[in-house]
Amino acid sequence: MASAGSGDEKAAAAAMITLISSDNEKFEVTEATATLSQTIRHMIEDGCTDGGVPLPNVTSKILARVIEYCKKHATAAAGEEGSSSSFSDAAFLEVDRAFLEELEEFDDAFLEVDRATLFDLILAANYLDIKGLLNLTCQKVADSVKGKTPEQIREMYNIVNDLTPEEEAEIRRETQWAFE
Amino acid sequence: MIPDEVLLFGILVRLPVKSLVRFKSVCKAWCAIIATSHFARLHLELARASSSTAHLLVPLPWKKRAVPFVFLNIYSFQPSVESNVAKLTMANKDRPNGIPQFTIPLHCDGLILIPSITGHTFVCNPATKEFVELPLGTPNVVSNQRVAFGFDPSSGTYKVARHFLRSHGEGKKVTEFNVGHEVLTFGDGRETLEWKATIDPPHPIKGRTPICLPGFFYWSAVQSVADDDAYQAELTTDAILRFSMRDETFTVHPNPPCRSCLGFTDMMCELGGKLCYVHSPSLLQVSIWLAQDDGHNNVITWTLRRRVSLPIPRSDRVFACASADQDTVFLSLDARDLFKCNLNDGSLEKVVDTRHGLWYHHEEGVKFVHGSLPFSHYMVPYVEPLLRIGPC
Repeated sequence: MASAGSGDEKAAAAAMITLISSDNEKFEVTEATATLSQTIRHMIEDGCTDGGVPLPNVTSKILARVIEYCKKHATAAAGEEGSSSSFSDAAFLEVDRAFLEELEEFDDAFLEVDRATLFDLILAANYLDIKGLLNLTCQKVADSVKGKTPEQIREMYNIVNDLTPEEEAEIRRETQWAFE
Repeated sequence: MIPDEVLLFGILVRLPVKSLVRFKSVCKAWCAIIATSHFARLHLELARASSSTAHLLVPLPWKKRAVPFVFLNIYSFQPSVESNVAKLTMANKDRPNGIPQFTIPLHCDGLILIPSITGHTFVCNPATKEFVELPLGTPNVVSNQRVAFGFDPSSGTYKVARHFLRSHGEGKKVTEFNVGHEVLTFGDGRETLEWKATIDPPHPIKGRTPICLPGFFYWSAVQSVADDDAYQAELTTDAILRFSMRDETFTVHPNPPCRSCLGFTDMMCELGGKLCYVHSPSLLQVSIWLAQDDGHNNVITWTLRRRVSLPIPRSDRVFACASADQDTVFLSLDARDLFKCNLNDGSLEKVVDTRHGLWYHHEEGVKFVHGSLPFSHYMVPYVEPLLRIGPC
């Protein structure tokens, strides 16, 4: 009995992955959580995750947030898969909706961060190739810049205006309606 | 700093068209990338995924006598949000001779094509305010002409097709007519817009608005006419002529089993990416047929999706327009009374009487209803496109 239990525990432990942040902090996560990242999924498939996965581009502060996101979304994905067979259609739809609402609330709260953190999350999502997180964070930035002027955009993103005054005037004339 | 690729293809691509047009003056690179068709297509795919409730309304004035020009205004309309308000999104364009009397507007990816009885054709992008008049095609000896408009995934371009009738003979004596077909391509930044002849259609194309699905145009054509009664519509047999944009070939397909000819009271529509046939056997009845087009075997299979009883009689015909929900469609009686139809049980819910119950809003608080003015109100699905019609 006892040995069977520890066997199960071993199987569960085998499905854990260690992620190592740039500042050398270790994070133990399940494979289901880790594989939301396509980058890590490929590493697992190639069998090169023994001894932990070093992520030299991601700090522990950001990695903790990323893992928080992945945990939540991995649970939601597993819940969706599991519930379709065990509930009637109506019950399934109900559960499905509750899940989605909860997930949406989580995402909204998750995005309540300062701009520097948001940018770091985008960089991490891009590097780890986590599609959902990249979409979510990019949309948040898009929503915040859509009302800005070209001058404000240049300042925000350190972009040098290389248009000649004539070119800029020409573009401005053609696109005047977009400034109204 | 955020890498350029993420900034452009992750963030910018999610912005509304108006912001992107404004950001063309940020720098050279942004201006160039925002203008590419690749960026425009990515933008369109995201816009389509995030909102599918928007529509446009195009009031089409009809006059008994030919008038030199009419007004062409395009309004945005969100029946699920506000069913009695349409807001002006593109105002009538100044054109030296005005806009000629036009016919049923066509749409593709948020671009609107306006065909006219004079053969002039206009394409506009309500989001960027671009308005382009296409060159005139081969002269048509009859005025009963229609235009087709759709996207060709194989080349990533938009195509406009028109059919026409040529006459042959000596001097003024015409001895023979035959049908022609030509296509104009845009959307890949080409310098000139021009018509190119395709092979002739195997049957004469009818003067009825065609339908376009990605890669294909569907025309209604006369396959055979019973000898004596050429004018008795019931005795003609129509076919659906499918033109493949990639191969530039026609294939002939049967009408749905409900009717062998596309009668005046019937209508071909596009419903959520499928070819749809709205058959109205009586003033209070409509049946909606959908086609499954098996592109590989060139087989079109018709299925009756739903019979619907109308609460008020139609006078001419009923138009179908997709909604965001697959099981719901909009039915517009004579392009006037708009209903929402549940395809699962055929029940109808009134949305608005576009003549008397819909307020058209212009700038600065100007609003009006059309009332009994002679207008049809055509509704088309809409997604905000960044696409450029004319050359850059």
